[in-house]
Amino acid sequence: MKVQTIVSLGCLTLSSVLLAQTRATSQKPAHTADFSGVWYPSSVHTFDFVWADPQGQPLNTLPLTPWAEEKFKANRPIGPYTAINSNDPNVSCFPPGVPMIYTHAFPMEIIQIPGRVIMFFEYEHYVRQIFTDGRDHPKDANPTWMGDSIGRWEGDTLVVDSTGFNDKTWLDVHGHPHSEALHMVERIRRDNNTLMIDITLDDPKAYTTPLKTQRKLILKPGWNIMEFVCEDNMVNFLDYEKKVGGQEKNAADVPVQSGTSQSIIGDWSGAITLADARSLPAAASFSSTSTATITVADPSGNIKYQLQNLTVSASGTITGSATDGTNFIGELSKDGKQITGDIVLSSGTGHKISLRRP
Amino acid sequence: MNSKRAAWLVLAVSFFLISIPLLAHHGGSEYDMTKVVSLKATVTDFQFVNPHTLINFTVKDDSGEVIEWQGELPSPNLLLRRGWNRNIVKSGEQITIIGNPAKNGKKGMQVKRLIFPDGHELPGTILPPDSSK
Repeated sequence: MKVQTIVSLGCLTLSSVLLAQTRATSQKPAHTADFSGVWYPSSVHTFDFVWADPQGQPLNTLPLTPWAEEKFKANRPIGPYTAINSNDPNVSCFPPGVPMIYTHAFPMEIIQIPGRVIMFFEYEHYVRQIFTDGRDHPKDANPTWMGDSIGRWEGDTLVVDSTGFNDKTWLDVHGHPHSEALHMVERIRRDNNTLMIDITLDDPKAYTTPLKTQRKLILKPGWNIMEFVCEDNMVNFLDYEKKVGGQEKNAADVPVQSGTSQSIIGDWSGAITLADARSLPAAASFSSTSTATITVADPSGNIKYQLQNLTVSASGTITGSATDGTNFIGELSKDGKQITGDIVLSSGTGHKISLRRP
Repeated sequence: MNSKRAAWLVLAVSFFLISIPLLAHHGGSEYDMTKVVSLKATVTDFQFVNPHTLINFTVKDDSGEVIEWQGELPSPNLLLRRGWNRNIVKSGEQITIIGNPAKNGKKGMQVKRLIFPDGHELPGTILPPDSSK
């Protein structure tokens, strides 16, 4: 065979392959909305799932089957348990799986290519491939942490159907279990810079009714997915967790102890400079060694902070907290005549306060 | 309840709502959120490494004894997006570290805020970079 013939045959074969590929690509339904970008969970929808029944009514307790009840009782979630005493698979760096990965405070990038929508999670770089090329779920799929996902477009809504999950993950931080029968349907739609995901879970082995919940994510232009390796510093971190999460109780060991409380008891007045630079009159009344009231004269009415757990160290550091989560951190001047400090909201935005004896 | 008070309460309540997940990976229930300690610290080691950032530091107690402490912070990824980097806290540096102490009285805390000698501050374990827009 002449060289020219071989080349011609080769070209023909290559063309056929390319043509076939082009045809296959063109057969993939086009994406009808663009979800591309880095998305971050919204604090409006918290990082904990709010579960509802199929009618959308919030559920205080989930309708567990006896099978799931037994598993749920054996789970020791963080909250009631410290990390070191929890058996949450995340603590040991096992994958959170789906849907729990949505409750992690890390961003996720959506990448759309022909035939696939890819969710690329910053947390451990887990990937969900949602096939939109018309395929079905594989038969007798081996169960996996992230499951098998297929999607179809209904207008600009992506409907994702996922099965094939293993039962090694929890649904949420509270330790609600699921079985390999878990079937999850998500309806994902974009509204400008917001991505809304309506989730319906059906797992008849674990729950007597389907469960509904929702996620809201915010577009983060300019963000890139960073590396996150759970095991990176686990040796040091677990040592630390063992220290602070152990069962030993030794509260008296906390070094900020009452020292000069008597010297602050009484009334104080001064001003608070808010984070937005406004200055408002403020007053404080330290009524005992453990409680105080700080009053801020806001134009629309007095704002009162009832501080509890007040401590004053011998060196003059004053700390206290209100039941709404507000913290006060101050310093008593050496001459005992002035208190300066911050009213710290949980958001960390500082409001400076300065008080003197009237 | 006036509007500002309401707004502050919303912020505070928001924190409690989001505090579970922020800490979900490795905890948070170790700490007494009703107590705040403000410590004049000398940094001995800063580990800006996943899964959680750690600051080791010493504090002189009221009797002058040097006590070793450790502070926990979120993932470096989350802190990088809030303006932190691996050199932002240096060994030997004297800073004020504010946070919630461990319930069991061990010298560990969840760091809420750092205040540097020049007065500038860094947020620690707080609301994530927002979100609510």
